[in-house]
Amino acid sequence: MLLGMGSVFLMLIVLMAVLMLLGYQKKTKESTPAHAENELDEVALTELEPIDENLWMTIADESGLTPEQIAAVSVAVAVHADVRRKQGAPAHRVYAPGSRLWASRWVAMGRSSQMTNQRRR
Amino acid sequence: MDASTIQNLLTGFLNLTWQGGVMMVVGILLIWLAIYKEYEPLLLLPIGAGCLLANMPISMMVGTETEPGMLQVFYDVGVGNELFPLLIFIGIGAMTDFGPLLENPKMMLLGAAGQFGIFLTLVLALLLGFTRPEAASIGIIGAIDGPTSIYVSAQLAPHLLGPITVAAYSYMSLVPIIMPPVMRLLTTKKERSIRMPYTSREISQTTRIVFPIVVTIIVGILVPFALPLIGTLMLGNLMRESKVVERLSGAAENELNNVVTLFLGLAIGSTMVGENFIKPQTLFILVLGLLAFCLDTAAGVLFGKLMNLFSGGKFNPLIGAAGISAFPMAARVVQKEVSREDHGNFVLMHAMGANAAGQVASAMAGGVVLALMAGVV
Repeated sequence: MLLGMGSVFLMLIVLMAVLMLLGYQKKTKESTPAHAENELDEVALTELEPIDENLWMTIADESGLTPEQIAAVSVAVAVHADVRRKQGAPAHRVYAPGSRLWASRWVAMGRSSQMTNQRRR
Repeated sequence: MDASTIQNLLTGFLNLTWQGGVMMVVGILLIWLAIYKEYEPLLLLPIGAGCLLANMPISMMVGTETEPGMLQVFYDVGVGNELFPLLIFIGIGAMTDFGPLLENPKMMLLGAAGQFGIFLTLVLALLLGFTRPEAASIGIIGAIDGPTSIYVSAQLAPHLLGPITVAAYSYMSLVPIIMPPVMRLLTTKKERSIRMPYTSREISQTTRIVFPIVVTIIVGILVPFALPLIGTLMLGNLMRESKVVERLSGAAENELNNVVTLFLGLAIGSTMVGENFIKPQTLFILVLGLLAFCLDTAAGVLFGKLMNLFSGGKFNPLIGAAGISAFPMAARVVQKEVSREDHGNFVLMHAMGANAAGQVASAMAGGVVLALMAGVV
Protein backbone atom coordinates (compact mmCIF):
# COMPACT_ATOMS: atom_id res chain seq x y z
CA MET A 1 0.00 0.00 0.00
CA LEU A 2 2.77 2.38 0.97
CA LEU A 3 4.65 1.54 -2.20
CA GLY A 4 1.59 2.14 -4.38
CA MET A 5 0.52 5.38 -2.75
CA GLY A 6 4.14 6.53 -2.56
CA SER A 7 4.59 5.95 -6.30
CA VAL A 8 1.41 7.87 -7.13
CA PHE A 9 2.43 10.77 -4.91
CA LEU A 10 5.98 10.81 -6.24
CA MET A 11 4.89 10.90 -9.86
CA LEU A 12 2.34 13.63 -9.26
CA ILE A 13 4.91 15.68 -7.35
CA VAL A 14 7.25 15.36 -10.35
CA LEU A 15 4.41 16.48 -12.63
CA MET A 16 3.58 19.35 -10.29
CA ALA A 17 7.22 20.48 -10.37
CA VAL A 18 7.22 20.35 -14.18
CA LEU A 19 4.00 22.35 -14.38
CA MET A 20 5.36 24.93 -11.95
CA LEU A 21 8.52 25.15 -14.03
CA LEU A 22 6.42 25.73 -17.15
CA GLY A 23 4.50 28.47 -15.36
CA TYR A 24 7.70 30.02 -13.98
CA GLN A 25 9.33 30.14 -17.41
CA LYS A 26 6.26 31.79 -18.87
CA LYS A 27 6.24 34.38 -16.08
CA THR A 28 9.90 35.26 -16.59
CA LYS A 29 9.35 35.56 -20.35
CA GLU A 30 6.38 37.84 -19.80
CA SER A 31 8.02 39.97 -17.13
CA THR A 32 11.04 41.01 -19.24
CA PRO A 33 9.19 42.94 -22.00
CA ALA A 34 6.60 44.11 -19.47
CA HIS A 35 9.30 45.95 -17.52
CA ALA A 36 10.46 47.68 -20.66
CA GLU A 37 6.90 48.71 -21.50
CA ASN A 38 6.35 50.02 -17.99
CA GLU A 39 9.45 52.16 -18.24
CA LEU A 40 8.25 53.57 -21.55
CA ASP A 41 4.81 54.24 -20.05
CA GLU A 42 6.35 56.11 -17.16
CA VAL A 43 8.35 58.31 -19.56
CA ALA A 44 5.26 58.92 -21.70
CA LEU A 45 3.09 59.75 -18.69
CA THR A 46 5.47 62.42 -17.49
CA GLU A 47 5.33 64.05 -20.92
CA LEU A 48 1.53 63.95 -21.22
CA GLU A 49 -0.81 66.47 -19.65
CA PRO A 50 -2.12 65.63 -16.13
CA ILE A 51 -5.07 63.21 -15.97
CA ASP A 52 -8.48 64.56 -14.93
CA GLU A 53 -9.33 62.60 -11.76
CA ASN A 54 -13.10 63.11 -12.29
CA LEU A 55 -12.97 61.01 -15.43
CA TRP A 56 -13.66 57.38 -14.57
CA MET A 57 -13.38 56.13 -18.13
CA THR A 58 -11.63 57.39 -21.21
CA ILE A 59 -12.93 56.47 -24.63
CA ALA A 60 -10.23 56.84 -27.23
CA ASP A 61 -11.59 57.82 -30.62
CA GLU A 62 -9.78 59.01 -33.70
CA SER A 63 -12.74 61.05 -34.99
CA GLY A 64 -12.33 63.50 -32.15
CA LEU A 65 -15.83 62.95 -30.71
CA THR A 66 -16.26 63.46 -26.97
CA PRO A 67 -17.32 60.50 -24.80
CA GLU A 68 -20.79 62.09 -24.39
CA GLN A 69 -21.24 62.32 -28.16
CA ILE A 70 -20.15 58.70 -28.64
CA ALA A 71 -22.62 57.58 -25.93
CA ALA A 72 -25.45 59.55 -27.60
CA VAL A 73 -24.65 58.02 -31.02
CA SER A 74 -24.59 54.50 -29.47
CA VAL A 75 -28.01 54.98 -27.87
CA ALA A 76 -29.45 56.41 -31.09
CA VAL A 77 -28.14 53.46 -33.12
CA ALA A 78 -29.61 50.94 -30.64
CA VAL A 79 -33.03 52.64 -30.62
CA HIS A 80 -33.04 52.95 -34.41
CA ALA A 81 -32.26 49.22 -34.80
CA ASP A 82 -35.11 48.36 -32.43
CA VAL A 83 -37.61 50.55 -34.31
CA ARG A 84 -36.58 49.13 -37.68
CA ARG A 85 -36.96 45.59 -36.38
CA LYS A 86 -40.49 46.29 -35.14
CA GLN A 87 -41.39 47.96 -38.44
CA GLY A 88 -40.08 44.97 -40.36
CA ALA A 89 -42.22 42.49 -38.43
CA PRO A 90 -45.46 41.08 -39.96
CA ALA A 91 -48.67 42.72 -38.73
CA HIS A 92 -50.22 39.56 -37.29
CA ARG A 93 -47.37 38.33 -35.18
CA VAL A 94 -48.36 36.41 -32.07
CA TYR A 95 -45.68 37.98 -29.91
CA ALA A 96 -44.00 41.36 -30.00
CA PRO A 97 -40.75 41.11 -31.94
CA GLY A 98 -37.80 40.69 -29.63
CA SER A 99 -39.99 39.69 -26.68
CA ARG A 100 -38.74 36.07 -26.75
CA LEU A 101 -42.10 35.02 -25.32
CA TRP A 102 -41.99 32.08 -27.72
CA ALA A 103 -38.98 30.81 -25.83
CA SER A 104 -40.83 30.32 -22.55
CA ARG A 105 -41.60 26.66 -22.00
CA TRP A 106 -44.49 27.57 -19.69
CA VAL A 107 -46.12 29.73 -22.35
CA ALA A 108 -45.53 26.95 -24.88
CA MET A 109 -47.11 24.40 -22.56
CA GLY A 110 -50.12 26.66 -21.96
CA ARG A 111 -50.60 27.17 -25.66
CA SER A 112 -50.27 23.51 -26.48
CA SER A 113 -52.82 22.59 -23.80
CA GLN A 114 -55.22 25.18 -25.26
CA MET A 115 -54.79 23.69 -28.69
CA THR A 116 -55.37 20.10 -27.52
CA ASN A 117 -58.89 18.82 -27.35
CA GLN A 118 -59.26 17.26 -23.92
CA ARG A 119 -62.89 16.22 -24.31
CA ARG A 120 -63.50 12.54 -24.95
CA ARG A 121 -65.51 11.66 -27.99
CA MET B 1 -45.33 -33.17 -34.88
CA ASP B 2 -42.59 -35.19 -33.20
CA ALA B 3 -41.11 -34.71 -29.73
CA SER B 4 -37.97 -32.89 -30.93
CA THR B 5 -40.08 -30.24 -32.69
CA ILE B 6 -42.09 -29.64 -29.54
CA GLN B 7 -38.86 -29.46 -27.56
CA ASN B 8 -37.45 -26.91 -29.99
CA LEU B 9 -40.59 -24.80 -29.70
CA LEU B 10 -40.37 -24.88 -25.92
CA THR B 11 -36.59 -24.38 -25.70
CA GLY B 12 -36.98 -20.99 -24.05
CA PHE B 13 -39.22 -22.25 -21.26
CA LEU B 14 -37.19 -25.42 -20.73
CA ASN B 15 -33.92 -23.52 -20.29
CA LEU B 16 -35.18 -20.89 -17.87
CA THR B 17 -33.07 -20.79 -14.70
CA TRP B 18 -33.69 -18.92 -11.46
CA GLN B 19 -30.27 -17.26 -11.76
CA GLY B 20 -31.15 -16.04 -15.22
CA GLY B 21 -34.47 -14.75 -13.90
CA VAL B 22 -32.80 -12.84 -11.09
CA MET B 23 -30.31 -11.29 -13.49
CA MET B 24 -33.10 -10.27 -15.86
CA VAL B 25 -34.66 -8.41 -12.93
CA VAL B 26 -31.25 -6.83 -12.21
CA GLY B 27 -31.02 -5.80 -15.88
CA ILE B 28 -34.46 -4.24 -15.76
CA LEU B 29 -33.50 -2.50 -12.49
CA LEU B 30 -30.45 -0.97 -14.20
CA ILE B 31 -32.59 0.18 -17.11
CA TRP B 32 -35.09 1.66 -14.65
CA LEU B 33 -32.31 3.49 -12.79
CA ALA B 34 -31.03 4.86 -16.09
CA ILE B 35 -34.40 6.01 -17.41
CA TYR B 36 -36.34 7.14 -14.34
CA LYS B 37 -33.54 8.12 -11.96
CA GLU B 38 -31.12 9.21 -14.72
CA TYR B 39 -28.19 7.55 -12.93
CA GLU B 40 -25.39 7.47 -15.55
CA PRO B 41 -27.97 6.60 -18.24
CA LEU B 42 -25.40 6.45 -21.04
CA LEU B 43 -23.74 3.48 -19.38
CA LEU B 44 -26.40 1.89 -17.20
CA LEU B 45 -28.96 1.59 -20.00
CA PRO B 46 -26.70 -0.41 -22.37
CA ILE B 47 -25.34 -2.43 -19.41
CA GLY B 48 -28.89 -3.23 -18.29
CA ALA B 49 -29.87 -4.15 -21.84
CA GLY B 50 -26.75 -6.31 -22.23
CA CYS B 51 -27.52 -8.04 -18.94
CA LEU B 52 -31.11 -8.69 -19.98
CA LEU B 53 -30.09 -10.07 -23.39
CA ALA B 54 -27.29 -12.22 -22.01
CA ASN B 55 -29.52 -13.88 -19.41
CA MET B 56 -32.24 -14.97 -21.78
CA PRO B 57 -32.49 -18.79 -22.03
CA ILE B 58 -29.73 -20.08 -24.37
CA SER B 59 -29.06 -16.49 -25.35
CA MET B 60 -28.26 -16.28 -29.05
CA MET B 61 -26.81 -12.82 -28.37
CA VAL B 62 -23.97 -14.39 -26.39
CA GLY B 63 -23.77 -17.49 -28.58
CA THR B 64 -21.39 -20.37 -28.15
CA GLU B 65 -17.62 -20.73 -28.37
CA THR B 66 -17.80 -21.81 -31.99
CA GLU B 67 -20.54 -19.39 -32.99
CA PRO B 68 -20.22 -16.25 -30.86
CA GLY B 69 -23.20 -13.90 -30.75
CA MET B 70 -23.14 -10.13 -31.07
CA LEU B 71 -22.45 -9.46 -27.38
CA GLN B 72 -19.57 -11.94 -27.31
CA VAL B 73 -18.11 -10.34 -30.43
CA PHE B 74 -18.26 -6.91 -28.76
CA TYR B 75 -16.52 -8.36 -25.71
CA ASP B 76 -13.76 -10.01 -27.75
CA VAL B 77 -13.25 -6.98 -29.98
CA GLY B 78 -13.06 -4.31 -27.32
CA VAL B 79 -13.14 -5.48 -23.73
CA GLY B 80 -11.03 -8.63 -23.76
CA ASN B 81 -8.16 -6.71 -25.35
CA GLU B 82 -8.86 -3.46 -23.38
CA LEU B 83 -9.46 -1.44 -26.56
CA PHE B 84 -12.77 0.21 -25.67
CA PRO B 85 -11.68 1.84 -22.38
CA LEU B 86 -8.71 3.37 -24.18
CA LEU B 87 -10.88 4.73 -26.99
CA ILE B 88 -13.15 6.27 -24.37
CA PHE B 89 -10.11 7.85 -22.75
CA ILE B 90 -9.32 9.62 -26.04
CA GLY B 91 -12.81 11.10 -25.92
CA ILE B 92 -12.46 12.07 -22.25
CA GLY B 93 -9.14 13.77 -23.04
CA ALA B 94 -10.82 15.70 -25.85
CA MET B 95 -13.54 16.83 -23.45
CA THR B 96 -11.37 17.77 -20.47
CA ASP B 97 -10.05 21.26 -19.86
CA PHE B 98 -6.91 21.02 -17.77
CA GLY B 99 -6.73 24.85 -17.54
CA PRO B 100 -7.75 25.05 -13.84
CA LEU B 101 -5.01 22.54 -13.01
CA LEU B 102 -2.40 24.40 -15.05
CA GLU B 103 -3.36 27.59 -13.23
CA ASN B 104 -2.68 25.95 -9.88
CA PRO B 105 -0.33 22.94 -10.14
CA LYS B 106 -0.44 22.40 -6.34
CA MET B 107 -3.81 20.74 -6.87
CA MET B 108 -1.86 17.72 -8.19
CA LEU B 109 -1.31 16.73 -4.56
CA LEU B 110 -5.05 16.55 -3.96
CA GLY B 111 -5.40 14.32 -7.02
CA ALA B 112 -2.90 11.93 -5.43
CA ALA B 113 -4.68 12.03 -2.06
CA GLY B 114 -7.93 11.12 -3.79
CA GLN B 115 -6.46 7.72 -4.69
CA PHE B 116 -5.87 6.51 -1.12
CA GLY B 117 -9.11 4.54 -1.23
CA ILE B 118 -7.69 2.25 -3.93
CA PHE B 119 -4.90 0.95 -1.75
CA LEU B 120 -6.88 0.83 1.50
CA THR B 121 -9.62 -1.17 -0.21
CA LEU B 122 -7.02 -3.43 -1.79
CA VAL B 123 -5.74 -4.31 1.68
CA LEU B 124 -9.29 -4.90 2.96
CA ALA B 125 -10.08 -7.16 0.00
CA LEU B 126 -6.94 -9.18 0.70
CA LEU B 127 -8.07 -9.57 4.31
CA LEU B 128 -11.46 -10.82 3.08
CA GLY B 129 -9.76 -13.63 1.20
CA PHE B 130 -9.64 -12.34 -2.37
CA THR B 131 -6.52 -13.16 -4.37
CA ARG B 132 -4.06 -10.34 -5.04
CA PRO B 133 -5.17 -9.64 -8.65
CA GLU B 134 -8.83 -9.76 -7.54
CA ALA B 135 -8.13 -7.43 -4.62
CA ALA B 136 -6.31 -5.00 -6.90
CA SER B 137 -9.24 -5.04 -9.34
CA ILE B 138 -11.69 -4.34 -6.53
CA GLY B 139 -9.46 -1.60 -5.13
CA ILE B 140 -9.37 0.14 -8.49
CA ILE B 141 -13.08 0.94 -8.08
CA GLY B 142 -11.63 3.60 -5.77
CA ALA B 143 -10.14 5.32 -8.82
CA ILE B 144 -13.77 6.42 -9.39
CA ASP B 145 -13.09 6.24 -13.07
CA GLY B 146 -15.05 3.74 -15.18
CA PRO B 147 -12.60 3.18 -18.06
CA THR B 148 -9.66 2.77 -15.63
CA SER B 149 -11.61 0.21 -13.59
CA ILE B 150 -12.51 -1.72 -16.74
CA TYR B 151 -8.98 -1.55 -18.12
CA VAL B 152 -7.33 -2.79 -14.94
CA SER B 153 -9.87 -5.46 -14.00
CA ALA B 154 -9.97 -6.80 -17.59
CA GLN B 155 -6.26 -7.51 -17.22
CA LEU B 156 -6.13 -8.71 -13.62
CA ALA B 157 -9.48 -10.39 -12.97
CA PRO B 158 -11.68 -10.63 -16.07
CA HIS B 159 -14.16 -12.86 -14.23
CA LEU B 160 -14.99 -9.94 -11.90
CA LEU B 161 -15.42 -7.40 -14.69
CA GLY B 162 -19.23 -7.32 -14.48
CA PRO B 163 -19.68 -6.54 -10.77
CA ILE B 164 -16.69 -4.17 -10.71
CA THR B 165 -17.98 -2.12 -13.64
CA VAL B 166 -21.51 -2.00 -12.31
CA ALA B 167 -20.20 -0.94 -8.88
CA ALA B 168 -17.91 1.73 -10.39
CA TYR B 169 -20.56 3.32 -12.59
CA SER B 170 -23.41 3.00 -10.08
CA TYR B 171 -21.40 4.67 -7.32
CA MET B 172 -20.11 7.31 -9.72
CA SER B 173 -23.69 8.31 -10.41
CA LEU B 174 -24.27 8.42 -6.65
CA VAL B 175 -21.40 10.86 -5.98
CA PRO B 176 -23.82 13.65 -4.93
CA ILE B 177 -25.32 11.28 -2.35
CA ILE B 178 -22.19 9.47 -1.11
CA MET B 179 -19.75 12.36 -0.77
CA PRO B 180 -21.59 15.07 1.24
CA PRO B 181 -22.07 13.07 4.50
CA VAL B 182 -18.35 12.16 4.57
CA MET B 183 -17.40 15.75 3.82
CA ARG B 184 -19.63 17.12 6.57
CA LEU B 185 -18.43 14.54 9.07
CA LEU B 186 -14.78 15.47 8.68
CA THR B 187 -15.02 19.26 8.55
CA THR B 188 -16.33 22.00 10.79
CA LYS B 189 -18.73 24.72 9.66
CA LYS B 190 -15.90 27.22 9.95
CA GLU B 191 -13.66 25.16 7.67
CA ARG B 192 -16.41 24.74 5.09
CA SER B 193 -16.93 28.51 5.03
CA ILE B 194 -13.32 29.41 4.24
CA ARG B 195 -13.24 31.70 1.24
CA MET B 196 -10.48 31.29 -1.29
CA PRO B 197 -9.87 34.17 -3.66
CA TYR B 198 -9.52 33.14 -7.27
CA THR B 199 -7.62 35.09 -9.85
CA SER B 200 -7.81 33.70 -13.32
CA ARG B 201 -4.34 33.33 -14.84
CA GLU B 202 -4.26 33.12 -18.57
CA ILE B 203 -2.67 29.89 -19.72
CA SER B 204 -0.87 30.27 -23.00
CA GLN B 205 -1.66 28.05 -25.96
CA THR B 206 1.92 26.74 -25.86
CA THR B 207 1.58 25.61 -22.24
CA ARG B 208 -1.70 23.86 -23.04
CA ILE B 209 -0.05 22.01 -25.93
CA VAL B 210 3.14 21.20 -24.03
CA PHE B 211 1.22 19.81 -21.01
CA PRO B 212 -0.17 16.61 -22.63
CA ILE B 213 3.15 15.90 -24.35
CA VAL B 214 5.19 16.35 -21.16
CA VAL B 215 2.78 14.28 -19.06
CA THR B 216 2.87 11.45 -21.62
CA ILE B 217 6.66 11.41 -21.71
CA ILE B 218 7.11 11.58 -17.92
CA VAL B 219 4.49 8.94 -17.16
CA GLY B 220 5.64 6.77 -20.04
CA ILE B 221 9.14 6.69 -18.57
CA LEU B 222 8.19 6.46 -14.87
CA VAL B 223 5.33 3.96 -15.12
CA PRO B 224 5.11 2.33 -18.55
CA PHE B 225 2.04 0.40 -17.36
CA ALA B 226 0.08 3.64 -17.12
CA LEU B 227 1.04 4.72 -20.63
CA PRO B 228 -2.01 3.28 -22.45
CA LEU B 229 -4.36 5.16 -20.10
CA ILE B 230 -2.41 8.42 -19.84
CA GLY B 231 -1.24 8.29 -23.46
CA THR B 232 -4.79 8.07 -24.84
CA LEU B 233 -6.12 10.67 -22.37
CA MET B 234 -3.38 13.08 -23.35
CA LEU B 235 -3.76 12.34 -27.05
CA GLY B 236 -7.39 13.45 -26.83
CA ASN B 237 -6.35 16.55 -24.91
CA LEU B 238 -3.59 17.39 -27.39
CA MET B 239 -6.10 17.21 -30.24
CA ARG B 240 -8.38 19.55 -28.32
CA GLU B 241 -5.73 22.10 -27.37
CA SER B 242 -3.87 22.11 -30.69
CA LYS B 243 -7.03 23.56 -32.31
CA VAL B 244 -5.88 22.32 -35.72
CA VAL B 245 -7.80 19.03 -35.77
CA GLU B 246 -11.22 20.14 -34.61
CA ARG B 247 -12.87 17.47 -36.73
CA LEU B 248 -10.88 14.76 -34.99
CA SER B 249 -11.40 16.10 -31.48
CA GLY B 250 -15.09 16.61 -32.26
CA ALA B 251 -15.37 13.04 -33.53
CA ALA B 252 -13.49 11.71 -30.48
CA GLU B 253 -15.74 13.42 -27.97
CA ASN B 254 -18.99 12.77 -29.82
CA GLU B 255 -19.23 10.00 -32.41
CA LEU B 256 -16.40 7.78 -31.20
CA ASN B 257 -17.31 8.14 -27.54
CA ASN B 258 -20.99 7.48 -28.19
CA VAL B 259 -20.44 4.39 -30.31
CA VAL B 260 -17.80 2.90 -28.02
CA THR B 261 -19.94 3.63 -24.94
CA LEU B 262 -22.80 1.66 -26.47
CA PHE B 263 -20.58 -1.29 -27.41
CA LEU B 264 -18.79 -1.21 -24.06
CA GLY B 265 -22.02 -1.08 -22.08
CA LEU B 266 -23.52 -4.02 -23.98
CA ALA B 267 -20.31 -6.06 -23.65
CA ILE B 268 -20.06 -5.39 -19.91
CA GLY B 269 -23.74 -6.24 -19.44
CA SER B 270 -23.16 -9.54 -21.22
CA THR B 271 -20.60 -10.54 -18.56
CA MET B 272 -23.33 -10.40 -15.91
CA VAL B 273 -24.51 -13.96 -16.50
CA GLY B 274 -26.46 -15.38 -13.55
CA GLU B 275 -24.27 -18.41 -12.82
CA ASN B 276 -21.16 -16.20 -12.51
CA PHE B 277 -22.74 -13.11 -10.98
CA ILE B 278 -24.93 -14.42 -8.18
CA LYS B 279 -22.24 -15.16 -5.64
CA PRO B 280 -21.43 -13.82 -2.16
CA GLN B 281 -18.28 -12.22 -3.56
CA THR B 282 -20.40 -9.91 -5.76
CA LEU B 283 -21.94 -8.52 -2.60
CA PHE B 284 -18.47 -8.06 -1.10
CA ILE B 285 -17.35 -6.22 -4.25
CA LEU B 286 -20.32 -3.86 -4.07
CA VAL B 287 -19.68 -3.14 -0.38
CA LEU B 288 -15.92 -2.71 -0.87
CA GLY B 289 -16.53 -0.42 -3.84
CA LEU B 290 -18.72 1.81 -1.70
CA LEU B 291 -16.06 1.79 1.00
CA ALA B 292 -13.40 2.76 -1.55
CA PHE B 293 -15.52 5.77 -2.56
CA CYS B 294 -15.93 6.90 1.05
CA LEU B 295 -12.23 6.38 1.82
CA ASP B 296 -11.20 8.40 -1.23
CA THR B 297 -13.42 11.28 -0.19
CA ALA B 298 -12.22 11.09 3.41
CA ALA B 299 -8.55 10.98 2.38
CA GLY B 300 -9.07 13.95 0.06
CA VAL B 301 -10.74 16.03 2.78
CA LEU B 302 -8.08 15.09 5.34
CA PHE B 303 -5.35 16.07 2.91
CA GLY B 304 -7.25 19.31 2.33
CA LYS B 305 -7.16 19.88 6.08
CA LEU B 306 -3.41 19.34 6.00
CA MET B 307 -3.07 21.93 3.24
CA ASN B 308 -5.28 24.23 5.30
CA LEU B 309 -2.88 23.83 8.20
CA PHE B 310 0.16 24.64 6.09
CA SER B 311 -1.52 27.60 4.40
CA GLY B 312 -2.39 29.17 7.73
CA GLY B 313 -6.13 28.55 7.50
CA LYS B 314 -6.58 29.91 3.97
CA PHE B 315 -7.39 26.63 2.22
CA ASN B 316 -10.91 25.22 2.19
CA PRO B 317 -10.48 21.49 3.04
CA LEU B 318 -13.60 20.51 1.08
CA ILE B 319 -11.65 21.09 -2.13
CA GLY B 320 -9.66 17.99 -1.23
CA ALA B 321 -12.78 15.90 -1.85
CA ALA B 322 -12.72 17.00 -5.49
CA GLY B 323 -9.40 15.18 -5.91
CA ILE B 324 -11.29 12.03 -6.88
CA SER B 325 -11.73 11.39 -10.55
CA ALA B 326 -15.50 11.74 -11.05
CA PHE B 327 -15.14 14.70 -13.40
CA PRO B 328 -16.74 17.25 -13.13
CA MET B 329 -19.41 16.00 -10.75
CA ALA B 330 -17.12 15.91 -7.71
CA ALA B 331 -16.19 19.58 -8.19
CA ARG B 332 -19.86 20.50 -8.47
CA VAL B 333 -20.67 18.62 -5.26
CA VAL B 334 -17.88 20.49 -3.45
CA GLN B 335 -19.22 23.83 -4.68
CA LYS B 336 -22.73 22.84 -3.58
CA GLU B 337 -21.52 21.94 -0.10
CA VAL B 338 -19.59 25.19 0.20
CA SER B 339 -22.59 27.20 -1.02
CA ARG B 340 -24.72 25.45 1.60
CA GLU B 341 -22.70 27.19 4.31
CA ASP B 342 -22.04 30.46 2.51
CA HIS B 343 -23.97 31.52 -0.59
CA GLY B 344 -21.35 33.96 -1.75
CA ASN B 345 -18.42 31.56 -1.53
CA PHE B 346 -17.16 30.31 -4.89
CA VAL B 347 -14.52 27.61 -4.90
CA LEU B 348 -15.59 25.91 -8.10
CA MET B 349 -12.47 26.75 -10.10
CA HIS B 350 -10.17 25.50 -7.34
CA ALA B 351 -12.26 22.34 -7.12
CA MET B 352 -12.10 21.90 -10.90
CA GLY B 353 -8.30 22.05 -10.67
CA ALA B 354 -8.28 19.30 -8.05
CA ASN B 355 -10.80 17.31 -10.09
CA ALA B 356 -8.68 17.51 -13.25
CA ALA B 357 -5.70 16.36 -11.18
CA GLY B 358 -7.81 13.44 -9.98
CA GLN B 359 -8.44 12.49 -13.60
CA VAL B 360 -4.70 12.25 -14.27
CA ALA B 361 -3.98 10.66 -10.89
CA SER B 362 -6.58 7.90 -11.32
CA ALA B 363 -5.04 6.82 -14.63
CA MET B 364 -1.61 6.87 -12.99
CA ALA B 365 -2.87 4.88 -10.02
CA GLY B 366 -4.28 2.31 -12.46
CA GLY B 367 -0.83 2.01 -14.01
CA VAL B 368 0.83 1.71 -10.61
CA VAL B 369 -1.58 -1.07 -9.60
CA LEU B 370 -0.81 -2.91 -12.84
CA ALA B 371 2.92 -2.44 -12.27
CA LEU B 372 2.66 -3.79 -8.73
CA MET B 373 0.66 -6.80 -9.88
CA ALA B 374 2.77 -7.47 -12.96
CA GLY B 375 4.76 -10.18 -11.22
CA VAL B 376 1.66 -11.82 -9.74
CA VAL B 377 -0.49 -12.30 -12.83
